[in-house]
Amino acid sequence: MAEDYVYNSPYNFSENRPIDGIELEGLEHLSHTIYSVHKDTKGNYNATYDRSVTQQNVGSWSGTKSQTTYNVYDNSGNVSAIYSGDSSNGNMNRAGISLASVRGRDVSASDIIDGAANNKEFQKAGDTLENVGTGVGMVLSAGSMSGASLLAKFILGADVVIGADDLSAGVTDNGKTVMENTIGEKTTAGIKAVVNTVNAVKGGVDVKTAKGVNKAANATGVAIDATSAKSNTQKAIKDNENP
Amino acid sequence: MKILENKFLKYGSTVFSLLIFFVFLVSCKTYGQEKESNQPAINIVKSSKNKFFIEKNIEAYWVFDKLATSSGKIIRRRNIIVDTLKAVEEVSRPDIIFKNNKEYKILDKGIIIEKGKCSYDDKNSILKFIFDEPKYNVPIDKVSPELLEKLKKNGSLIEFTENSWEIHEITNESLSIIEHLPHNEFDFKYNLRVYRKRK
Repeated sequence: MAEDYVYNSPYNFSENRPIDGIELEGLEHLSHTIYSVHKDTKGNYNATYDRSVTQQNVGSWSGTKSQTTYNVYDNSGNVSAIYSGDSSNGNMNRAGISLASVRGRDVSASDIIDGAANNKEFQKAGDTLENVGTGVGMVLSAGSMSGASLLAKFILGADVVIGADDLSAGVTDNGKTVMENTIGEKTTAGIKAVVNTVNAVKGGVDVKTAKGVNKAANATGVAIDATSAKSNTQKAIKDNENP
Repeated sequence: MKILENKFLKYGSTVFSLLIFFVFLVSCKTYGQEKESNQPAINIVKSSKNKFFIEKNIEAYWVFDKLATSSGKIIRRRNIIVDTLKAVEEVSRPDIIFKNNKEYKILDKGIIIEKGKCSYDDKNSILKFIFDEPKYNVPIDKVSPELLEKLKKNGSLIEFTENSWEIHEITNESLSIIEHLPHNEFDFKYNLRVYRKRK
């Protein structure tokens, strides 16, 4: 009979850990502070306090844990991203982010970065890296203010081809792309320059394209990695002219 | 020489046994030591006023006055940097009304955003709230059905039916509530949400 009921024991009260699995007597509290985050017309994010709620007798610790949740709204007034965790700097999770959908599956910025960094089939999205660019503008539109620099970094580091036109996907009401609205025209141009350079170097250099990229890199000035884009392009032109 | 050898063997083994026992004791003590919960630290910050005093003085319309750090410094604006999110908070908190029939209402710019019953739990020194309607950590009407389903599946959607506040200080004029900053069960970081009684 004992063999049939192995999951029953005299120590179930402590999950079969009678030494350290102590009864906490209702001291496990979890405090949540919840904020709404909206983007204003200038593209800045503003947080508004919603509520603080403390739950009693939850979890398996003694004391009070406190975590903050930021519900980030998109321009249409719907929640596009949820950040939650017990630290303002680390231990924050992005829960259920629905930033973009590639072939019916949700894609987040980290999915794309992971996919690009690993240089393999874009498994989470069920798509290949070559097509990920379609979702990039949308990813950047969902609160990833510094996502652009990460993305540029990983695009450069990975063996991936994304067309600059793909980066401009999703034109908004004011005529600018979602990406331009979110991270600024200069930065967008910088990323495009970097991507074009990578493509040019990878695909065999077309002098006309490379010169154009060089010009774009010069024009952006402060753009992300424009310096490396410029030097890469100059090297590409030199290599092409003196094979 | 032989006597000395015997003595050494005798006392040496005793010393060795004691040493083993000492190591065992130290191991037990280290294993048994756990980081102290933050509850004692929180209890120190809580008001020591009794239930009668608190319930008598809390019946009022409380207007949010200020948010202050634990050392008393007023916070008017706060920069938030979380992962890739950078936001600014212009500090504001809703007002609250406690009625003499134990009802309470929380108002944001005059609009009731929460109401229910409230009482003071003397044993745990907390102000307990029971909501008339459940609340959620995510605004469920602003989330796509797919995302809502995803949140439910991974346990990220939390339904709240009750709440508790820890009072730091209450007088006839002001009410100060502990507002936890993000921390684990060992640390304790907080701000103070201060209300003034509307006259």
